[in-house]
Amino acid sequence: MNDSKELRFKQIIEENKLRIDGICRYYSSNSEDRKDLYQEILVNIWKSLDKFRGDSAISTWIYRIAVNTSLSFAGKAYRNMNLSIDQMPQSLNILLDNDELELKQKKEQQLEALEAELNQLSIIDKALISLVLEGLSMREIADIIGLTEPNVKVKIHRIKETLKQQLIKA
Amino acid sequence: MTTTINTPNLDLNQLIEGLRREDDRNQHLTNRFKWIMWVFAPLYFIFFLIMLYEGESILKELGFFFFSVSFLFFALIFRNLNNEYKTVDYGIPVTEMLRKAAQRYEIWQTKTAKAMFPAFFAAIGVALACQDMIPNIDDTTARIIVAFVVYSLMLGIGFGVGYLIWRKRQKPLRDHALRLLEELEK
Repeated sequence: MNDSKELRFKQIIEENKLRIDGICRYYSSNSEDRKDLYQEILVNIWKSLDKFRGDSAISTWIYRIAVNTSLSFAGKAYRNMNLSIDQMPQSLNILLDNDELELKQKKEQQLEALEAELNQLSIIDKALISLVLEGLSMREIADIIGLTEPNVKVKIHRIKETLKQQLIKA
Repeated sequence: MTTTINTPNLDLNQLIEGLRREDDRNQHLTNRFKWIMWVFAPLYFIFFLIMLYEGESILKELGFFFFSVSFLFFALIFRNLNNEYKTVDYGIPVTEMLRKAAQRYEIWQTKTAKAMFPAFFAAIGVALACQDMIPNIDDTTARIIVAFVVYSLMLGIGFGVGYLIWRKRQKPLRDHALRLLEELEK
């Protein structure tokens, strides 16, 4: 039984490496913290594996563990996480609906300003935004967080509006 | 601005080995404690029967009977508590996890109240079985009361220490969970 658990664990990690890494990279103030978070997520996947009954998609389950771990109370550095975004334009587009913004052409400045503003968000808002940046649908985010889809849409819309207002001011 | 997207270099096999060791260690620890309780309960009951057979004082007999009942209750309560703490599930929705975490770190819960019963039975057991150790008091009833009060005071001190530990370690976790939950649900 232990061998089959080990095989299943390895398979899940292999198939979901990018997802786990995706969440970790948003929460890295430094590479050591990211490594610690990555390891802790793996530990919690192992601990929760026996309880997984397939009532949600594996990806949803993995994201839940990743977010729950990030929000957990171990007192690690990533509790005060700094959100890091990559340079892919899609990230910016997802958050800014950039057709309406004057600063659309200054992508580099926008990214820096956006990162600064993202780090001002509360830990919950950061968690929601990290899932948006992963390209998840509202339905999927609602499943992970445990809220209704309309509730999640309202929250994310509010965060986006706040970010836009802050960027316009800046 | 650049960010690197590299999977941290982690030896999965080493991690799994470490996890297995921890699982085994936790299993052994909890089994050991569980078996201590399950051994002491019948053991004290046997002592009670021996005393009954040998015609010891009724107070001592009752004392050992209450010890036996107390250990039995502790064994049952601990078994349920142990299962709960062993199976924290991180794969549930975030709001549910936060709610369960807040519940888990409450100071006063139904299971805390349940633990008062075996503690109370143990206090009675000590008062009855050990009352003859109280010096300078001739009246048996008074010795029982003194033994009960002394033991209860010691229990009270234990609860006080437990409260301080909860306040320092677990209350912040509970408060943090409730804050996050409030923010999510507002």
